[in-house]
Amino acid sequence: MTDHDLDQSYTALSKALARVGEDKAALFLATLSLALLTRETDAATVLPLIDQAERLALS
Amino acid sequence: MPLPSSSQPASLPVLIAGGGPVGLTLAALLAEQGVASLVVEADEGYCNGSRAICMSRRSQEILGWVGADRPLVKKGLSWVGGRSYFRNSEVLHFLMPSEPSERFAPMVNIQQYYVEQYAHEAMQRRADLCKVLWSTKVIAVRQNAEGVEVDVDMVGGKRETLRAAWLVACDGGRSTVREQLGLQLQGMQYDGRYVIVDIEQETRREVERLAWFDPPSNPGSTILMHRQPDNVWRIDYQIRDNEDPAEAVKPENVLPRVQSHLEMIGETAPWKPLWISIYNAKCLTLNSYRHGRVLFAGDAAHLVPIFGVRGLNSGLDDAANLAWKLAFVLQGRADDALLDSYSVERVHATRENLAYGAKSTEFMAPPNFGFKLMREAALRLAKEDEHVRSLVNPRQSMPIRYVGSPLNIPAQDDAFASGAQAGDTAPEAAMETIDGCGHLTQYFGRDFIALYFSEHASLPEPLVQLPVTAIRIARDGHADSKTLIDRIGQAWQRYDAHEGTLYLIRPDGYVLGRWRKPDWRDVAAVLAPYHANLDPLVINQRALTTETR
Repeated sequence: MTDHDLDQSYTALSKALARVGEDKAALFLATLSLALLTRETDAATVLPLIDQAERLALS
Repeated sequence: MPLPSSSQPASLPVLIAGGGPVGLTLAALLAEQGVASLVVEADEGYCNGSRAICMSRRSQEILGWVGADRPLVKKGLSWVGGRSYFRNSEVLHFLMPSEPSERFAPMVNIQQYYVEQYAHEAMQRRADLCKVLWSTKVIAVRQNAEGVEVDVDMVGGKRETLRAAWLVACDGGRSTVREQLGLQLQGMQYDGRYVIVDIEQETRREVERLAWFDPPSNPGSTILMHRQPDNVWRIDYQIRDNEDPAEAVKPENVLPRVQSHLEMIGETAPWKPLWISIYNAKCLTLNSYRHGRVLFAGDAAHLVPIFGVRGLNSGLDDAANLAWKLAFVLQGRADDALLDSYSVERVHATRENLAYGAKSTEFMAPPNFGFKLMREAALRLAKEDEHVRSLVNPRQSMPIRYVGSPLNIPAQDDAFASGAQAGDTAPEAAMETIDGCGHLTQYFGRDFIALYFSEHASLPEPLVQLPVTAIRIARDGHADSKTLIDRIGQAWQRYDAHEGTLYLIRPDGYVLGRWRKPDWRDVAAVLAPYHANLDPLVINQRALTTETR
């Protein structure tokens, strides 16, 4: 992804999160994660990302 | 047109309200064009405190047009990159494009009062054409079809009325001229507040932009540091959402936080505070920078967020865009509609700068829950995942392409695969000149320039007849008064040049249009609106010289 597209996506995501609000944030992110995850070709790519996110969330 | 000698001239060509860096530079640029101006400034002298610090490459070029680049580069501190930290780890190290053959570093740090001093010294070298009246405050502004009247209070309290053909408002964020015309900046402000502190402390650290997110020294805060000359550190830190700004700037609340951070980063030399103030990021602009005979530049026209350092840098680019246009109109060379293009181009540039500034601010001072949460994720991932690092990048100041400008000439742009198109700044290149090693940008900043890329020994006769200063860019041979040698090939490459390629460059260093195979009548027609009353031979006899700079 180009820096420009990354920027555009990151901003859209930040704004959508603000609109859904804290109460619905977890559900929103879970829905989005699932949509993005299914676009990966196999579990081998996804499982390490889940581990990484878990580790970073708890650090 | 010399400056009238009495203190109450019948009518000035240009009156500049505001003697800050933009107003002073504008006066010096007008003088380079042979146009007289008077600057009125309410304060007694240069600014004090901590204001603009980071001067971009383009700003250094612009100051170079009035000979102010040399003292700036000598005094200032150059830097090429920066580091960002999250908690205890470095998550980003960025470098701006830079190479040894370059004329200027990407960024130079220097206090704003030095910039004002050097711009003022440039004015003093043209004392026949421009001067500053200090301690002179604008009280009222009136205009009609013929000119502008400005009431001012002078030293000793005397009130006078100054008359000018044109008034340029360079009087800053709280512009009196703007208020007098009943105009308001439009846009928004961010809530996040940053305390600014200048301290004096010696260091051995390299000069870089430094940023800390949630550092152990100040948990939950964001801290920026910039080195300045005279052993000064500029420190910016964000205060908590629920902190009272009036309390936050008190030394007893500021100095311990500074001390804590200096200890954390290992800066242990003795230090003392010089300045404390507070700001919040703003995205504000007028919708037009021309209102009849009154023009707006710098903070009087727009306020941009501090992140990305586009404030003073865009103000100087306003002055660069305006000076030649105002001169050409006053000299009868162009119709005054040319000044409308100043507003079109610079309002466009401001909107681009605001968009970049907003992006940077969304990261440096996240405005809501969504941006805050995403930043937490980005900072954690950045250490391990290079793909997210560009989000942490501060997006530094760059000159803006004038997309859709009425001045852009499509010409034969489609025939080029790369290089600068109409509305872009003309690329820099290291060149061999009759004075030795030099750079292309040294020849910009006063006249229209025709860059003609050719291996043939002389310029085509039709080009020589045109009202433009023509320069041949050769690949080899010897430099002379009309020829530069592109020995290391940067120019031919950066301009995507073939034999016979022509670029027309505006006095502000922007590309007007480019041709692969110029039809000289088309080129003459393109130049015609800028030379309504001038003898073409007078212009194209001017030899290449950078000696006056």
